[in-house]
Amino acid sequence: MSIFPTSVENFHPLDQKGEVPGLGSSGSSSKRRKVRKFGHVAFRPLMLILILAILVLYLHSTQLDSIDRRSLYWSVIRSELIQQLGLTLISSAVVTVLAVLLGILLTRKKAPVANSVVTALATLGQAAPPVGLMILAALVLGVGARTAIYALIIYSILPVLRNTVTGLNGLDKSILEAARGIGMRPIQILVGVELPLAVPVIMAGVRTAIILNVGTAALATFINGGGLGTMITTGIAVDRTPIIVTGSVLVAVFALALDWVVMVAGEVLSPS
Amino acid sequence: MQVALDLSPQEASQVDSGVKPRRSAIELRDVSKHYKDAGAPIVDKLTLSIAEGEFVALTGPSGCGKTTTLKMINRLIEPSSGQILINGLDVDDLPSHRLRQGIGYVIQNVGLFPHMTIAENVAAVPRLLGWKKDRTANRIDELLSMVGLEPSMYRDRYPRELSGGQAQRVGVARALAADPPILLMDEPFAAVDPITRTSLQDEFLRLQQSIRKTIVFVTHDMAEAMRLADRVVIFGPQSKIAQVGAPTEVLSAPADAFVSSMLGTGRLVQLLSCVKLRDVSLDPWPTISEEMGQDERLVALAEALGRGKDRVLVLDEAKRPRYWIYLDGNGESMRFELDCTLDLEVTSLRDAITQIVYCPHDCAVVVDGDESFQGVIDLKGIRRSLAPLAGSSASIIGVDK
Ligand SMILES: Nc1ncnc2c1ncn2[C@@H]1O[C@H](COP(=O)(O)OP(=O)(O)O)[C@@H](O)[C@H]1O
Ligand SMILES: [Mg+2]
Repeated sequence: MSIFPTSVENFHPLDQKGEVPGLGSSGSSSKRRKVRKFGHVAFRPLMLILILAILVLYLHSTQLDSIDRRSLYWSVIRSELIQQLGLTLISSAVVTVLAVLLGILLTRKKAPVANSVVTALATLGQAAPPVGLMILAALVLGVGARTAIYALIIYSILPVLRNTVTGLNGLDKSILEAARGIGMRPIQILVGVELPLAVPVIMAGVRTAIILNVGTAALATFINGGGLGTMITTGIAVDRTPIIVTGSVLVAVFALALDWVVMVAGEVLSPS
Repeated sequence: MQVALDLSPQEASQVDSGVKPRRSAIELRDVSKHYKDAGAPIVDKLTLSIAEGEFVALTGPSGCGKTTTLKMINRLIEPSSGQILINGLDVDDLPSHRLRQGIGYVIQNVGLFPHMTIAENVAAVPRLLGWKKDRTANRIDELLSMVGLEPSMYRDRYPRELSGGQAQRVGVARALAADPPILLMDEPFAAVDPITRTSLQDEFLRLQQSIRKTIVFVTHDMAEAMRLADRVVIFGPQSKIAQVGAPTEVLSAPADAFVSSMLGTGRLVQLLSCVKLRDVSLDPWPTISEEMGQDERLVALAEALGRGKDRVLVLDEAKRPRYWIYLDGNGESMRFELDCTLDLEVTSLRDAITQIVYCPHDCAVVVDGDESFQGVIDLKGIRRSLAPLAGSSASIIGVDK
């Protein structure tokens, strides 16, 4: 068997046919599943390391002048990375808490009207072009990272909200009836049954929000919010291709890396 | 913490000081349910009293309000009017979740929690009640064995690894976890294949013999109701009760054309399935103790022959049948093995008939739970014992009243 993830993925459809999942399945197929899972998880970091290596090689093979260097000092890159991470994580964390709470409220009984209103508003937030949203927010709240975070929250709340509502509404009704029937209180049902079962769907929404935010955070630089976008705008301003390339690659790599972390976290957290 | 409905009968009757001859575990008084948007009530002034330890089946056509009635007992649905008492206490006197912690609840789709192991599922109610860890663990193992699942094998599995029948066993175990006096079951065996269903029914009956819960069991399957319940409530059109009675009563004398049509053509077979050997009179047969010598045996055989019986049944000191003896051509006593032994408590007339038909000596030996000899039964005896039950079915089975 090849160890390359893609070929491992393609290996299966035939030999897995007719196997009852979980019922004493044969050791070899569960091992194969593990190999596939490992390949699935390990592929992304390997790819990202490769891309970074190519970037480093490219920068080494290019003549860099002092202007280039100033933007490519590790200390500069590091502080922009941290800003980017901060923008993304803070906005995503706030969005997750807000949207999950909102989603919980909207899925309690007697909330279908509120549900459609709130979802419509959230859709509006996402439909607005992110640059416009940033600038609009800056006009109202002034420039800076804090404003950028507000804009990111408005922009990315929809997927988490929608997935929370979908995840909670999509649960098997007989499970909830059983939970009620054995005497669990609503809060116990929510915390002990509904949320754990909805985690995979909610996490998918959080993942989408993080992707949206990590990309959009690159625009924070337009309203003085910092982040990796600064490198791109600087590169454009001083007309230096290496800076633009580095900024763009770092934004992309950073987004993919964060997505990977969230994916792995989701797999660890979700009920097996 | 205290189990919500953990009231002993004495406590309950102190609260309810009225003088009642027979305590009822569940009492519905003029209970109705109607929804605003629907015209006719779903349940209309239902009055029903269920005794402690009684197994009552609610049955009737789909949509007649069986589930609604059941759910009003544990307040998953609030009645529009009327009163429901459990052990003499109004169900409204408790917070609804406390009420439900004290009532077992089993539903058709089982509703096991997919993110929890079998053990965690079974432990759901004990956890709500704050039981200690080892007490819960012991109880889990006890319950899993009780419902026929080897604890060491199933404890740590997840619900998706179970077959439908196994899942419902776990559902029953979960409902019984805190040993509630009352069990509400809504079509619990309807979603499994017929063979599994029959074995689940059999096992559940056996379980009920030992746990003696008060059970309200909803099913649209008449045969299942007849098979399991001590008393059957048949809901008719317009949410009215068409008939209430023991299965044999209903089967032998359906109240009206509606009940007859609900019972269908399998009525006689169902009747035979419902009547157990303990409900009919058995015939005596000459017996002799195992310790007796050859001479006594010959005397006993001669006496038996005088009464038209060509065999004598030999019993051991605990009155358990051992073998037959009979006289061979040379006047010696010969033995041969028992061929057909039936259990007084569990064998229905239907099973008895099947057994007797295949038995070389057209009559079967009947024993009780301790295997001690109770009498014999043959096809004539079965026919005779049906006469008093027959009612309107007399004409079908051709016996005189
Ligand atoms: N929330 C509701 N609003 C209006 N009608 C309902 C509601 N819930 C159930 N019903 C109606 O009540 C009737 C009885 O339902 P149910 O008790 O489940 O019947 P059964 O269990 O006997 O099949 C059905 O006709 C159903 O359509
Ligand atoms: Mg029903």
